[in-house]
This record gives sequence, C-alpha cells and structure tokens, in this order.
Amino acid sequence: MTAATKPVLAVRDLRTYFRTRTGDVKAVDGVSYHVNPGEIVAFVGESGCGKSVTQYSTLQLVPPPGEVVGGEVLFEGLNLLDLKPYSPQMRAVRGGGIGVVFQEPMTSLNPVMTVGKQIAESIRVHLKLSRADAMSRSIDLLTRVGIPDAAQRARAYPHEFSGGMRQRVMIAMALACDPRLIIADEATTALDVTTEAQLLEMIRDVVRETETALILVTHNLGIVARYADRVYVMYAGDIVESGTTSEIFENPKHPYTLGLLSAMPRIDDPHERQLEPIPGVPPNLLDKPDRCPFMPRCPFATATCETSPKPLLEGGEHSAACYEVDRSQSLLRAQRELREQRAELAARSVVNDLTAPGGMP
Amino acid sequence: MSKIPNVGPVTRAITRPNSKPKASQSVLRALLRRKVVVVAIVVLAIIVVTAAFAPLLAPYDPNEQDPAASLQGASAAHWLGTDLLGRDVLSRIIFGARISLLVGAAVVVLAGLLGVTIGIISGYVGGVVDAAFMRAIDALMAIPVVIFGLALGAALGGGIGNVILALGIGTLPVFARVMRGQVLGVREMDYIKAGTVLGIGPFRNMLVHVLPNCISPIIVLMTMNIGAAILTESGLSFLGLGVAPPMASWGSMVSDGYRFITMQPLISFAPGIAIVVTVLAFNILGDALRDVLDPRLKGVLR
Repeated sequence: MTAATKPVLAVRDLRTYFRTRTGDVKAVDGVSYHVNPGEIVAFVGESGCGKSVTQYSTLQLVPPPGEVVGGEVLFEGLNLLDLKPYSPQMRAVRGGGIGVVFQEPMTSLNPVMTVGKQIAESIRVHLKLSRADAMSRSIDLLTRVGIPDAAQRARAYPHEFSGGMRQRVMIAMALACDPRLIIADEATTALDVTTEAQLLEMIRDVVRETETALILVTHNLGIVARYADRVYVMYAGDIVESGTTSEIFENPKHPYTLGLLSAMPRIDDPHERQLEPIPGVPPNLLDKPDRCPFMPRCPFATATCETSPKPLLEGGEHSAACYEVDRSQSLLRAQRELREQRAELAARSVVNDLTAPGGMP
Repeated sequence: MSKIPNVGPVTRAITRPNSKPKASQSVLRALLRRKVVVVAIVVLAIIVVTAAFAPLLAPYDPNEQDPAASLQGASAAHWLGTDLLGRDVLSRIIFGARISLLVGAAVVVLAGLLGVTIGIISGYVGGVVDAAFMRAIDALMAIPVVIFGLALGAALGGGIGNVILALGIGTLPVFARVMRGQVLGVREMDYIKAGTVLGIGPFRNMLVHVLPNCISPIIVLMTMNIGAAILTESGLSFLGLGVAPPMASWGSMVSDGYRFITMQPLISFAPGIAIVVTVLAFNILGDALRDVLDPRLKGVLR
C-alpha cells in the first residue's frame, strides 16, 4: 500500500449474504481491498465467485434477498454503508462519485430515448446543469469516447448504434459527472476481441488522463495482464490473492491463481504445454464452512488446511490467503526449472538439426 | 502503447432506419397504409370538426321547440326530421357530438391518468403497495361500469360531470392493470437498473425511463376506450342519468325517440347510427395503432 496517496475506495471486511429460505448464501465473505487514485485494479475469478456482488455491495445495490451484513466501505473517507441505500447522499455517490459501466451494452440503454439525452440525464441529476448545457457536455463526452460526428449522433437512438458504439455510450455515461472511480463490470465481455481492445485502451487513456481510478471486473486474465496495475483474485466470496499484476502473473502464490494461470493458454509459451483444468467445482456458498474454500480442489492441501479456520491474506504488497504458500512456490520453481531445461534441450536440438551433416537431394 | 482514438469508418455505427419507427411520422405512415384506417381517421376528423363548429353547421337551434312541426319525417327543411317537441334532429345530433366527444375524451383522460399512476407505482414499487392497489382494482373491476355509473348517479345525481367521473373510475382498472403489467416487464430491463446505478432517483426513473417505455399500449387502450365510453354514456343517458334534459346527447336522443320508432324511426336511428359510426371509427383506429406500435406484430399485419 502506498502511504503517500490516500485510497479513493477502501473496503474492509465486507460481507454480503443472500438470505434464502435454506440459509445464508455467503456471496461476499469478508473482503478487504483498496483502490488508489488513478489506479487500475482488476478483480478476477470465475462466475459466481462474488466479484460483481462485491461491487454492487459497495454501491448498496445488492438485489434482495441479498444484504450487506457487515464491513466498511470508505469512499473518499465517507463510509457508504452508513448511508441509507436510497438517500440523496448515496444517490450522489452513484453516478456522481462512482461511475459504472455494465456488461450488456445492448440492453443497458433506454430504447426510446436518444443517447445524448440519456447521458444528459445523469449530468442534469448530478451536476444540476440546464438542459442545453447538459446536452453540450454529453456531446463532448461522446467525442471523447471516440464517437465520430458526436453532435449528430447524440440525436440518434440506441438501436442505431452497434454493440461497440453502445458500449462507448455507456462509458460516456459513466464518465459524465467526472467520477473519481469507475467500475467496469465485465464491461467488454459481450464484445468481440478487436472492439474489446479498442475500448479498453480508450478507457485506460481516459482514466490515466483524468486520474480516475478504475475497477475492472473480469474473468479474462488476458485483459488483466494487459491493463491492470494491481489484481485481486477472488474465489468463493473471498479474495484469495492480491498483488501487482506482474507479481501475480510471474509469481502466483495461491494454488487457485496457479490453477487459473495453468488453465490459460499463452501465446508466448514455446512448448505445447497441456492446459490443466482445475478439478472439481467451486463450493456451495450456502453454509460455507470456516476453512480454506479452495481446500477440496487444492493439490497442495494438507491436514492443517482441513482443520484450520479460513486463512487470511498475509498482508503486504503481494499476499495470498493460504497456509501452504511454500509448497505451491516450490512446485512453481520446479516447473520453471523443468521448463528451462526443456527450452535448453529444444534449443540444442535445433542447433543439432542445423549443424547435422546431411546432403540435400 | 498506441493510442486508439483512430475511429475509422469500420467502427462507425450501422444505421438501420427501418428497424424501429424513429418519429411519429413513420407511425403515421404505417397507419395510413390501410384504407380502413384512412376512412376511420377521415370520419373522426369530420366528427371532430362538426362538434367544434356546431353552431355554424347546425341549421337550427337544437333546443328550439316548434310544436307545429312535431314528429316530422325527413324533408328539405328538416333533413333528419323533428322529434316530439319539434326540434331538428340533425341539429341535435351535431350538438350531441360535442357531448359524446367530450365524455369520451374526458373519461379516457381521467381513467388513463389515474390508471397509469396506479399501475406505474404498483408495478415499480411492488410488494405490499402492489398487492393493496391490485386488490382494490380487482374489487372495482367486479362492478360493471354501467351499474357503477347508476349507483354513482343515484348517489350524486345525474349530469355530465358525474357521468365522466363514474365512467372514468369505472374504466380505470383496465389502464392500471395494463400499465402494471408493462412496468413489471420494463422494470427488470438493464437500462432501468442502469438508471438506479447512475444515481437517478426512483421518481425520475419512473417518469423518464419507465413511463415512455410503457406508454404505447396505453395510447391504444385510450383510443379503444373512447368508443366504449361514448357507448356507456349513451347507455346511461338512455337510462336517464346522462346530461340534463334540454341538452342533446346521442344516447338520450335514442332514448327519447324509441317510443316513436314505428312512426318516425329516424329520430332514434339517426343518433344511433352516429354512435355506431363514431365508436367503430375509434375502435378501428385503436386496433391499427396497436398493430403499428406493438413491435411484436410488426411485419405481420400490414
């Protein structure tokens, strides 16, 4: 944690449970993280691990029967959980202090309203500008997110835009009131990879330029590696590892992160490495036992893991919530050595092939 | 890393001008594609103009009595004859159009306003509020409109204001239910949630995002209910609860004339036909509007 800058968002021990008839589903089970100004932070994890619910919890918008049952969400020093979910202060934070970009650009825009008006709507609510001023600001925003001929396109309806363009509009909406934090919840998942890359680069440029913090919620490790400064890996409602992007990718500590990375193909991998799936399925979050959630699927699990309470993040710049970090680390080292040896062998055989005497027919 | 904003023509949005009516113009064009609808619109226009310029168009004062000319048949002087008191039937029909249109429009506006308000709150808020409103609406729906009108007329007396009130409240359940159903669907759409996430309050969200997305079936319903309201007003007037006696209303004219139906059928037939034509025109327009505005039927019924 950098001591010099105060984080925009600091979340401590956030818990969100879904109160169902059969018991509490612990969707977010004691999560702590922070986001510094101008920083791009990624939340990774598989579907249902609680990455999105975490974000909606901070905005107090968890749909019932979900309920934030504990923790602290400090946004610029103000604990959002102290505010009533629909109080004016809370509403000022949503869309004002924190902008959100959604996953579904096709359905997240009102079909009967021009896009210019929709962007202006949020501006009028938060910045209290007049209709005309809000409109000219939304045209500026559309230009900024790369929509050509913005003044004219602002008068168009959502169905006249392609998916990528609509997502640009959504981004303009999120940016509308100069937020200090933008949450992009799987913002580009529905788009094709080319558009995805364009959009992410645009968001990154805008965010860097305006010193806005960005939370990228995604299950795409490629995006994380390319755009994020720091990463939180989530599993079954817990953050299991946190660290800078390069640390996480080069030196994963938690067996789950390790599993995720070995399940991801890499274009720079010279050998035909087998992709290794993580065996098993995520645990049922209903009546989650107090132990390491990854234990049943973990290749390094020991008797300690089975009997001890849930491990916590050890703290520090790069930390994992695991009792057996040493074991996974030694495996990683072994793998790396093996790879190096193989590479050496391969290099030698290439050399051999080249130098081998053989007559061309 | 390279900067992207190189937005070339490749990423420019594809415009599909025909995928959805962009403005009211295209709705109108779609409407006018069917001849029946054109006829209905023309008929309604004639009726509206007639009602507006009644004093200029009517050959006689509708309330002027001429005992000497009682119960006359159609003639050059009285195109549609005269009634028992010698009043010109054509003039009375022309003036009666005012009452019928006024009642039709006022009832639908009243029922629409109340019904839409109840429906949108019910659907958007849900829970106990929804249950309470809907049970009240169910109770109201159990009472036939005419009976409700009669009861209210008995309690408050006749007169056009009370007729409008009775019919408005009686028709309200239809609007409330349709609106609630629409809202229940629209409420779950991502853009409504997006509104909430971007800090737009529930009232503004309802007004700006929910209402415009639910309104097209309501417009159709209004058009169709104008006819029904005119019909019920006629019925109530026929039963003696409509407008006060000297004033002409199509329903009361049918009522007055039916006693002489064998002698002078025109006295009740003429206003009766006026009712049928007006109601039919409104219904055709309503049907056509539904076909045009309902995207699910687009391309099926042309």
